[in-house]
Amino acid sequence: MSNETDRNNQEPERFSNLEIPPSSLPKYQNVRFEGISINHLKKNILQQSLLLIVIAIGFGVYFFKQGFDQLIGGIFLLLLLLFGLSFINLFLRQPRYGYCLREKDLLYRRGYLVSEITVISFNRIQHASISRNLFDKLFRISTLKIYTAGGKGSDMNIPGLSLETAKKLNEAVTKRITDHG
Amino acid sequence: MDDYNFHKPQRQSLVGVLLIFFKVVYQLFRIFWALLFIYFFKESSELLPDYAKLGLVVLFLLIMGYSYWYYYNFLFYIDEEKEAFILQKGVFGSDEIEVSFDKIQQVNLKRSLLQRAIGVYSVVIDTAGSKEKEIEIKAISEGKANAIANYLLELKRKKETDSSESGMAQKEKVHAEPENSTWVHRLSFIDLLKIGLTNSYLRGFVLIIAFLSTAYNELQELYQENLNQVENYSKGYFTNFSENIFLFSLLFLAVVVLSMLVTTGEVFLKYFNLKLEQTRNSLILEMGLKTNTKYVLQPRRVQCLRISTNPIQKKLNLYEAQFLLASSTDHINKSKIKVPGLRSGILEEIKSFLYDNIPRDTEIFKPAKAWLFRRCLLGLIPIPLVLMALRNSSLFYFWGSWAIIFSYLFLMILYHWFSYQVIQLEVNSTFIVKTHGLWTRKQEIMEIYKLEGITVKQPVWYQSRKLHNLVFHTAGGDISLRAVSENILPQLNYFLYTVETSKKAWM
Repeated sequence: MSNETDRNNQEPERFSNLEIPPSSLPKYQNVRFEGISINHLKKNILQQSLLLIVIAIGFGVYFFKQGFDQLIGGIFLLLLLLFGLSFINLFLRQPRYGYCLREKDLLYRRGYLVSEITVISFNRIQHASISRNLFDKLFRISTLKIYTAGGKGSDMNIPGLSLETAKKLNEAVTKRITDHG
Repeated sequence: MDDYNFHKPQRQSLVGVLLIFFKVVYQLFRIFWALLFIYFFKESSELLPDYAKLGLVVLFLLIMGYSYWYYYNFLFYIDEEKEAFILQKGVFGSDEIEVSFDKIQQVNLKRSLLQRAIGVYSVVIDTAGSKEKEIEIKAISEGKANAIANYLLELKRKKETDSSESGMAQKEKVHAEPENSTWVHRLSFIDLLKIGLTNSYLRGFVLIIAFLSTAYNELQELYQENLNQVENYSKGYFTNFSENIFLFSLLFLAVVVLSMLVTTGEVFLKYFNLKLEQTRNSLILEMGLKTNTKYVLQPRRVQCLRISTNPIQKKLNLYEAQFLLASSTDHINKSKIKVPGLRSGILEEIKSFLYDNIPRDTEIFKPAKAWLFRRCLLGLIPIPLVLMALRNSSLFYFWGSWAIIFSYLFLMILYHWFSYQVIQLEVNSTFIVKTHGLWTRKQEIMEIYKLEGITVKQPVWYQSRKLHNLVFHTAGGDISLRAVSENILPQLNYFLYTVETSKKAWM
């Protein structure tokens, strides 16, 4: 884990009423994001492939029993095309995942077609938890879930973290919540 | 009031088994109703075969067993050491839910029709945060339900060190201390009538569209008939035609009036006897004909204030305020408290009560022109589709359809153009204010220190233009603005700074 807070910027004094030029504040744009495990990509590929295999078997059985027909064949081709695109999507998305723990907040970046960065302040986080499903266990990764008080919009799910990293992050977040809470 | 000991683990009332049973049966029915439907329609004459009867009996017993086991494993108690309300449940696995007193937002009693019949109450413990964190205990006798609600609220009050805070929105069961009020706002009969009538325009509009389209279809048929009968049309045809028109307009009028009546009725039901009152440190709201509800609103609880009005209502000096409170997603309605029919004076009072002072030094951000362009482009999509659909019909050569298409085009661009003029985000050192809406003008006011987080999105097609879509998250909901120039980014750092250094209570 790396804390990339810009420490050179001194915190403005609390009880003065000087104007704070926004340019002197730490910039969220400048943080360096920590990537996630490559196992996340592997897991997604496995999941997708399994789904693809099941679908292919389904179509295969249909063609075997009913014979080939143009409409269903077309649908199958379309599905294959979609799967191809989604595989490409998986590869493109992988390097875009990133998180960054600062002193006072947590940043999470994802998406390549639409790049999204969410920043949540620790004093607004309600709690954090680690979740792992069967595939996660297989690849020894986990998802860190951050809950805020509001609706789904501000909740964060950071996938593809090794269990140790997830635990460390969870601990760090929990500690900061109680410090700031 | 009887004495209950909530410190030992305990179960719901035994009749709760019935509730669980009915719920399971209802869920099964919702899954399999189509099957049942088919069965009864196809083979209504035949009786159930024996094995099916046996199956039903077994199913019945299984559900009964499940319900009892669910009831048996459903335990709740209050742990004063952990300062938490604890619920254990689970039929196959086991779940333990722990809610610490200070996370409790409110405790409500509810009852459905079925619960009324059985004579039990639901105790709902609302917490801020995700929906798994909300607890409902479905079958508790009245006395016990009241006792547990009051007890929890009392514990919560004790836990909350800062001033004598009570739950944010309590039902009438818990009395707020009487305080002298600064001002009171009531809705008169005439006010309610005005609100009802001015609110029904939307429904009226939809109905007009629906009606015009049916009328158009009818005319279309007549027109076709006309073409066929062009040789031998009779006088009777014309009377028929005008009769139709007359009937249509009559029916149309009736439906519009009816819809207005319905909306007005709804308004009366919901807002009858509305009374909004400001006391020293809270707003107290009472309203409703059917169920009289009472809310106690404190400034710190309000995450976002939304003020809306439309030109007609503005003329009549009627504004609607919505208070957005911390919520779990599935109860979005409960956490939006609507107060209609406010005069601008009262609105100012509310604002000055909720917010200390509103700084003047605002900076205004608007979406880039690219946003307007994209909206118009999206609005064009239906046109080629409609043209494709019409390609082979005679309508393609009918001047009327082209007139409709062009007027749509014109109105669509006009609409987006004027919406674009309206939409803006005002930012100053304390507030974020978003204004939008062409007909219903909405203003959303958010205090910066109550923000929970910010999401900045940049689609690839905005990269070269350096535009960003922004979402501001609060516990009461989000405010978003699309295609904003990068000039706003330094402001975001300032917002984060404000949130992260704020020590004020915010929820």
